Amino acid sequence: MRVNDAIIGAALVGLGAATTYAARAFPAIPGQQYGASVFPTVVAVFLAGCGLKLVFDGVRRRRVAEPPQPGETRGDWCRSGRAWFNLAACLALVAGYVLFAPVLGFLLAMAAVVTGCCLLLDAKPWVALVVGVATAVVIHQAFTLLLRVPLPRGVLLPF
Amino acid sequence: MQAIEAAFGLVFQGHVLLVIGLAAAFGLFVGAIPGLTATMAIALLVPVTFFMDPITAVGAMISCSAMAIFAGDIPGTLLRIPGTPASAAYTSEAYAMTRKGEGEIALGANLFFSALGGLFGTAVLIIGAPMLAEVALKFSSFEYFWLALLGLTCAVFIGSGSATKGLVSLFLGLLIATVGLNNPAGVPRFTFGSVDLMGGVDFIPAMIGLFAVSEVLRVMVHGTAGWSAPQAAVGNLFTGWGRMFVKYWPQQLRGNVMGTAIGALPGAGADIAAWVSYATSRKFSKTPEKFGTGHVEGIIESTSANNAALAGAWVPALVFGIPGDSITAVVIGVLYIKGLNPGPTIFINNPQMIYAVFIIFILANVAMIPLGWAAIKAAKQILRVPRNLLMPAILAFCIVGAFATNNAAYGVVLMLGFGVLGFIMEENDIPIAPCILGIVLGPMLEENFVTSMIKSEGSFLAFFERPIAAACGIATLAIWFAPPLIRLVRRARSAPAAA
Repeated sequence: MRVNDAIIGAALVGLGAATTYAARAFPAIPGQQYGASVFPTVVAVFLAGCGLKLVFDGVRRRRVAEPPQPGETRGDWCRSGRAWFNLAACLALVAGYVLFAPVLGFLLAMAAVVTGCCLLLDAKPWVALVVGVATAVVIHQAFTLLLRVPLPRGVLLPF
Repeated sequence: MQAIEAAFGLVFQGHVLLVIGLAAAFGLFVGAIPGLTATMAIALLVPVTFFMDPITAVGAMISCSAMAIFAGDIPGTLLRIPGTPASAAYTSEAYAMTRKGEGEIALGANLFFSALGGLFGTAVLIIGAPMLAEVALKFSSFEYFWLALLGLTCAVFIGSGSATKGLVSLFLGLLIATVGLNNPAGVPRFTFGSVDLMGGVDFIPAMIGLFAVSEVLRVMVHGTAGWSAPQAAVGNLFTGWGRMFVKYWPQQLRGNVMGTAIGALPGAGADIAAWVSYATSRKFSKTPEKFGTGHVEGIIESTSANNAALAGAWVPALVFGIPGDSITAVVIGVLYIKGLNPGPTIFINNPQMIYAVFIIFILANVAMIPLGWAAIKAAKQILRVPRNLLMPAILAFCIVGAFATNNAAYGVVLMLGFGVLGFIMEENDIPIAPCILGIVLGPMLEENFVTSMIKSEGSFLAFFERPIAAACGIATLAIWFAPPLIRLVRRARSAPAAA
């Protein structure tokens, strides 16, 4: 997802401006000149400065219409619907894990995430299922028994 | 003396050695898989070390990182794909040797000189760190402010690529560091009303996201088609070790010194050390024309350098609490969590801990020879692990690791956010390391800045009044302003010539 530097730069200028604005509300340390707002403001100003530089570079590069740099071929996936689908599906699987793990329990939710990701990467369905279940079980045993992390048990509570 | 005995007692326990051995195997595996970096190995290891006592945790991280940096040479030599960025400098050279049928000499050199480089770096760490710690005891907020700033400066300016993009990454990291209550005034900043964010952005989920989840997302998008299994059979690895050591000792020594120095420089680590050393080797070589055709000289110098840098990076990390590279950035985070705040006082209050670190470093580098040998022999199998099954399993590790830091789903959300951020940054050539250094050093920078400003009643001159502070300050400013000044002078000189 290679975008023109100018777009990133503009976003950074926006972020810097918003940060500076928000930082104005931070109270100072009583009796001192320098409080909670100094550091974020300085950082935000520099960030916006870098953003401006990127905007400038990006616009100039566009005008000159340089041939793409060798490293820029990575941007090709943007036209591939499959790539976008994979990205969205992977993010959705992790988000789904966060939402449903408390209900389903770690084992089921994690097995679903791993199986799903394997399928996205073109694994054979039965291989994906085996890897998904095995990963979930191994991690579950390691983290609950050895490290005593209270992983959510969900509907599998009786076990 | 008592402290040294205590340190041996701490290290030579069954479970400590077992964990160190397992971490080494893990490091070898992750380092040998292209795309998975040493920093990523550490990021995945950290949630597990959470539940260990400090020595075991630190030992695991040392052995894992040392092995991963070495193992990165294996796919570089066999497939021309560096396993970690630290091997990238000499990948083409090593692969050229493989094509000439000298693969075992290249891998043997990588193994032998990696271990030697690591031991050299360790020796410097053992001698240098305590001496530096005595000086550091006299440091005040002014010196620490400059040191933190110097570290961040090096991270941006010494790395390859665009300085602007390095700065963007750094400032993003510093901005992330301001989130939460943890600031001199103790007011909540950028928490958006979330109780979770009050405590600040949790470092470990952020790390896992930036270094590991971003890589998973990249594979999701770009697919797993990549490398084929290596064809070349690897013969006797120990061929020519004595001859190479005798013939190339100056190169090796120079690589060791350069690597340790670059590693010890705050903010610059193993990958930069390898690039600089490879270039130096070529420049001073009697036969520079052989470079690039499968010549072992440059490999020896740079493979020594990247492992030496690893130990060198611990010098500023232990003495000042300022990370020498992104791996020690994580280590510092873990030390704080364990209540072992790095800094000069740790050498006085916890000497056995420091000695234990030294012992583990020596152990790890000695163990590298047999373990590395095994990894090279198993390379075919390691590289045959299907990535379309490995990446989902890594994602599972990321999720459970991010969860385990606080036993809260908030960690997983944070991890996902940072994964997307890291993915977007890498797609656009914005380096990640400065961001992570910013997150680690941000609080230190701010605290020392505000304390100093209050002490000096708002006078910036006070930052230059103490001698060491002044030296650090001038060095920092020089790195900032030297490149544009040199450019101006050059332009001024060439202008009359052109006219």
